Amino acid sequence: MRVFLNGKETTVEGVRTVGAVLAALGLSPEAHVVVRDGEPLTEDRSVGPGDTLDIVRAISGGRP
Amino acid sequence: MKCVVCRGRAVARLPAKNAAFCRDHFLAHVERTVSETIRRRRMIGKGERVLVAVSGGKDSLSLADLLVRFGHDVRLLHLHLGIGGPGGYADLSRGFVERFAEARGLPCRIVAFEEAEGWGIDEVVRRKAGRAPCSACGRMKRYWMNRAALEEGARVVATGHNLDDEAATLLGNVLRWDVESLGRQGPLLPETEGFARRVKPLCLLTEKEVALYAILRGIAYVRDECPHAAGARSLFLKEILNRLEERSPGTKSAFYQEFLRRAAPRFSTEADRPDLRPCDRCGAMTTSVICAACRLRDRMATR
Repeated sequence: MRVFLNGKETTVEGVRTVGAVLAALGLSPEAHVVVRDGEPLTEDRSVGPGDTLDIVRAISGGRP
Repeated sequence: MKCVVCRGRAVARLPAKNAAFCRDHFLAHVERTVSETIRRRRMIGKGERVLVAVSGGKDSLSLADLLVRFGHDVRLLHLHLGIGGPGGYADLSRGFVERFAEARGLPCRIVAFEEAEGWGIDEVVRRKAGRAPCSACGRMKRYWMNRAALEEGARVVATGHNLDDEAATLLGNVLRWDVESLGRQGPLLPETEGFARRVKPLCLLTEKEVALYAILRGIAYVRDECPHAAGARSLFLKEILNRLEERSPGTKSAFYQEFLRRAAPRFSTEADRPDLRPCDRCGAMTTSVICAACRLRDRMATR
């Protein structure tokens, strides 16, 4: 499946849960929202070939 | 995963609250949390004009969206920070704010640092006039937020600080035992002479909850990170807190809320606050002879 993260595209193989995709990419579930076709997906949802995911990084900011 | 309210398909899981929500019930949860925060902490009085400082990011635009939904008298303030040059970060941010304001018919004042001060944050970095750009940037933003509030007749300034922001700031203050900052940190700074009240209505929502809100409401926001933020300490502190949160959901909320309930009163006393007087240069209230914004202006003028 195609995965967009911060504007960069990568590919993830197989059928997995959203949680597993985040883990495979080393991303914290607390800091990211996974969106497919405009719908946020909870970590238990299944994703696979043919899906296009947009991973939104929630964390921002740069204050001392 | 099912919504805990209606058993419909969940779009948001909130481990800290041991809950999951469908779209409608998640939006209701967010609205309830923010309106309760405003009510319990008396952040905005009936009929009071609120100046909402909007950067173009998800937090401030979501905040503005919510305050409008609640029926408050909202004015927007956007500070164009002079970062990234033509078409860069600051220009992009302004674009999102302008489209947001236009779509809702909201009055929006835009202050461009390059015009108002003669220099933007990129210039501060180039001339190395501040130790870190974030510190200089924050100081100038606070000056302009307060000045704009006074000029627009707003008694309250609202910013989009969320729970992750507050917890990271708290952790940073604790690591240094910065007792002065610990005495001042909180969701509400009361108005004093020359200063509008400052409130943070999103302070009990995690950054993820705010992101979900923006996505579900279709609020378009700038997703790029500020180019000067790379490696900033607060981002690192947020990552640390999120690791703790994953191990033990509810950590961030307990850290912040219990601080406010139990520890904050021990750090602040009215007597500790030095007297405020007008800055010799610009008249803004300050504890020194020359206010922090003017001290930065002096440094920028001599480099």
